[in-house]
Amino acid sequence: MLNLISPTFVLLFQEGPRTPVEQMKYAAVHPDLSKFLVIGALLFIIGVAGVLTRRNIIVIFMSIELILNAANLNFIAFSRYLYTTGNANAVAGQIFTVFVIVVAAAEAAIGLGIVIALYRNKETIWVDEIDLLKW
Amino acid sequence: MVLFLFVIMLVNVGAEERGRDEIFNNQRQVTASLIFCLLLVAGVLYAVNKGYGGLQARNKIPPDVASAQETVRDQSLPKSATGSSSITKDSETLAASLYRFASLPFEIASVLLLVAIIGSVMLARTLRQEASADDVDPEVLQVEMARDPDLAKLEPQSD
Amino acid sequence: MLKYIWLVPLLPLIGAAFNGLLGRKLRFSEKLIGRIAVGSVALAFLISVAAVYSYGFGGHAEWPKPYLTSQDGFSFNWIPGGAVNVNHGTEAPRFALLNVEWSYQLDPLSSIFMLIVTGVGLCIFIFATGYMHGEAGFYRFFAYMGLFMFAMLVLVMGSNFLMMFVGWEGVGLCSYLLIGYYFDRPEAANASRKAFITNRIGDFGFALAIFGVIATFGSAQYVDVFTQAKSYPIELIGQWGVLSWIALGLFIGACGKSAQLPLHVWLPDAMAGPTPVSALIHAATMVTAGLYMVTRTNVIFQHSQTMLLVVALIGAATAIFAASIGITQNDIKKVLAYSTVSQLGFMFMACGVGAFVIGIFHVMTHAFFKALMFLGAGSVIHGMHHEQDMRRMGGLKKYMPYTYWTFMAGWLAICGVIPFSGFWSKDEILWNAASTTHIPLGWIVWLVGTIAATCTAFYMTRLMAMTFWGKERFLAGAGGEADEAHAAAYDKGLAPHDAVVASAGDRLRHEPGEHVGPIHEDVAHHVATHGHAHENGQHEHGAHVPHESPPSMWVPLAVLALLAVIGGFVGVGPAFRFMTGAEHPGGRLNIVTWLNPIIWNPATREFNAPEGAEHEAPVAAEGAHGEASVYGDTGFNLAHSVQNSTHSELKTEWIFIFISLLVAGIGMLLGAYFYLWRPALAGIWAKRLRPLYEASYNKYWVDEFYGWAVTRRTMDLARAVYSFDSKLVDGIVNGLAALSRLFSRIVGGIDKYFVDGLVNTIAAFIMRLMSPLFRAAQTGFTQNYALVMVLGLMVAVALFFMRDIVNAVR
Repeated sequence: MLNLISPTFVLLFQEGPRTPVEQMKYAAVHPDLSKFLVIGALLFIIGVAGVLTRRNIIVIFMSIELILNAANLNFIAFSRYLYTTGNANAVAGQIFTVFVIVVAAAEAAIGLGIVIALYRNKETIWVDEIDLLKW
Repeated sequence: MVLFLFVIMLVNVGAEERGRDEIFNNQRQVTASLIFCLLLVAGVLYAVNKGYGGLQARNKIPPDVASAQETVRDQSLPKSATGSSSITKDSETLAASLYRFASLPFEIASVLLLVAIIGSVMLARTLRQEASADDVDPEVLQVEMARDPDLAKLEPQSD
Repeated sequence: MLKYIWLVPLLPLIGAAFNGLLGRKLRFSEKLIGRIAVGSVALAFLISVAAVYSYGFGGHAEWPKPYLTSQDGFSFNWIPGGAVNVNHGTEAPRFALLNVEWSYQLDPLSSIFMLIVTGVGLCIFIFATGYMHGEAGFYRFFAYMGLFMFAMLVLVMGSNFLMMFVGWEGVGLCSYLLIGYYFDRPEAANASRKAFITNRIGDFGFALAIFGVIATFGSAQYVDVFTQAKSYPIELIGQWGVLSWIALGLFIGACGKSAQLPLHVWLPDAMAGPTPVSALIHAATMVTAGLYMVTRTNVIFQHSQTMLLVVALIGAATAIFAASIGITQNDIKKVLAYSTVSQLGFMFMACGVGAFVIGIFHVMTHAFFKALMFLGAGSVIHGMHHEQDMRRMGGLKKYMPYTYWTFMAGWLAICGVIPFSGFWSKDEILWNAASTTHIPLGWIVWLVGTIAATCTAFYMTRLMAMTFWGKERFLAGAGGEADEAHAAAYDKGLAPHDAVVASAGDRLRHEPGEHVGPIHEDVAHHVATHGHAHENGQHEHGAHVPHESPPSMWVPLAVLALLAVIGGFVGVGPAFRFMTGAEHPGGRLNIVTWLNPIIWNPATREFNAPEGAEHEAPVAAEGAHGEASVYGDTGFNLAHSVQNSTHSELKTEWIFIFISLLVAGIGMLLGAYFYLWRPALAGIWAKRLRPLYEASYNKYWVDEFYGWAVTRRTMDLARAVYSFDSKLVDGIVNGLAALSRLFSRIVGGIDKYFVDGLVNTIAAFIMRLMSPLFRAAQTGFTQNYALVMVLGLMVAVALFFMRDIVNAVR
């Protein structure tokens, strides 16, 4: 991905890489915030796509976990960024992440219980066969 | 995630392997989802791009300076027992905030987990398990006993 | 002691409350009920005696001023009132504030009545404990009697017209309750209703009079009203003003309460009640309430000569009317009832000619001897096992000596034999009637009174002869039954079973305490229930030998007999001044001296001064015809014309005394002749004078006339009004309802087909259009729902960042 560095910074800090290749090598070794955010976003989208498209209930649950973890990634990225840029509230992101993990675990437990009860009744794991609310 | 694997093993995974059953939903749903996700991708990338520019403008410390400072800080950390890595202060920082300022959410989270455990146990009980624990409605029990006479044996002896 | 007179009405009320409310619940014994009742009345009597003594004869005697408890005793503001306009007509309105208080007044008049009510009442209560022995409703009887005592005492002790009215109504109520004591007998129930309704008619007049008093004088208190009334001008015959109207209303009330013509019809029927009730209420106390009222308001009456004439004439007419009925009645209580009506007529005669004091004196002596005779009759009835027909009595004097000797005292008193009490009062009445200057036609009043006195002596001697002297008839033939049915059959010569009771009054043959049932009109039913063994319609009954009554019954008789003998000496008249040395001997103990302060003197226009009682008759020698000039020329005056020929007032008085003694003797001799010495002659003369006999025996058919003229016409009117209401008024209402129903049906039809049709069409159209669309959204497929959720979320976020997005796009 492109890494935008304003000309001012280039002037101030002569140590930065100049050529595009050097820039890319530098960016690969010193990842900044936007890269993490992009990864989190991609994971989020993959998870959403999995929730909306797959037939298997378990796969849907996995996709939901993927969504939650993408959000966690977002939090951590910002936490690291704030830490390195000197903000005193940097640890808040990590704390939030802990709680998101807890909630994800609880939700998964309950969800799987529901799935097992549902399976005992309907004997199927294909979501499109569970359509009792259909008119 | 381990539990997931166990559950998958319990549930009808053969269909996946055999490949006879469909793994994707009907066409319309899939199409609509994919269109939406592509839109999302575009939107997210654009937003991250735009946002990061503004974020960078407000940096107190430019990032390469920040990473240089970080490298310096890393070198000042104490080394581990084997000397291969240094002991960071990350968990200490996290714990210092977590157990002081976020202690209430922490407790609530533990209660939440407890509730989740109980709920999942209750949800996943079979009829037999419920009958032996005397947790079935009498009317429902009559109906089920007609279908499965063994249930009567499981009922706790009342005195 | 004066301060405590408020206890006098209250004690009988408390006794009545105990007996009435707790008597049955807590199952009081007869002894206890009797003790509570008699004790309360005895205590009230003692307090009255002490109070009257300290009022009139004590150290700080208040006599002759009236004593009001609002001075230093019990009183409270009963009716806080509003303004009353006391000027009428063309003058500017002047308002007085009408506050009615509940306070008691002890003055000469109310003191006499207090003593009579509580004293005679005490004797009667004691008698009743013996007479009513064995009754199931013993407690009820004494509760009602106590209530009656309370009401009567409030009537006579009240300090204003409204309290008198409260007591008036209260005694009427108790009369209803007590006459109807045997409420399961139709004639008792009818009689009590008749008494109450007739009373009510009188009460209407009384109420109007009270309104008039309040409107004229602005107050209801006696002291205020009479002080103001003193100064009004006298209205002679021919003038009729506001005071005459008030007096008319008051007298209508008195007619109703004291059974004067034409409202006398209830009193004979009231004999259906137990005998103590007849004695207390219908002889001694309630019926004298009318006289109390007339004497209390003598100021107002003396201002209206017309009303005085009316009172005197109606009194005289009643006296002779009732006396003429009494000579043919066969029921012992009926004779006494008509005698009461007749004697009340005498009292009103006295008031009408201006001798109010003598009227009250006669009230007092009449209370003694009439209560005595009623109780004696009760004793006779009790001893004869509830036989009331005199034709089946006779020769009782050797079986019931106490009753006989005490009854004889009463007989001599009522006949007017000197020196018994009746003589003193009756003679004074006749003298005052002859010599009155208040009204014209005094001589007619005297003549009618004398004839009535003769009849009185006749029928009372007849009663004595048939009951106590002569042959014993209670063992003969079909004797022993007390049915009026049998008595009627005896008259007509029918077999007893074929007779039917027509009139109210007698008890059936039952022992006290037995259930008293309805009268049988059906022969077979009568035989079946009574189980008589008989041949040819003859009854075989065990002979009932009469017996003397227990001491609880004859001791009060003895007390009353003593009073009947010596009670008259408080009113020894001026005719005896040569013996006693004074016009009215005895100082304050003389009734004329005692009562004079409340009598208004038209000559002086003030209430009489206590010293020097006024003569009602002017003295010939002195030309002080003060009163004559007050009332104008009242025409022929019998006493004056006699006096003009004898030239001596004393001689004139003695001539009249002699005449009254003579007629009394003639009456007694005739009675003895027809019923003791030649009993067969009575029947022969009755047949010879058949029309007169029938008229008298059937009470001049007054009840039948009232029934036809008043009762039936009222019911016809009620029926007419009812049919008007049900046909016309209800018809209109029902018609409107039907119209409403029709209208609602039309509107309902419009609503159902028109409006609802429109709505349904629109709804169906929309449904056909939209329903497939919405149905398609309900797939039941969770992931569809999830997709929609996420789309919505995206839209929300986009909206959130709308400004930035727009800026970026630009």
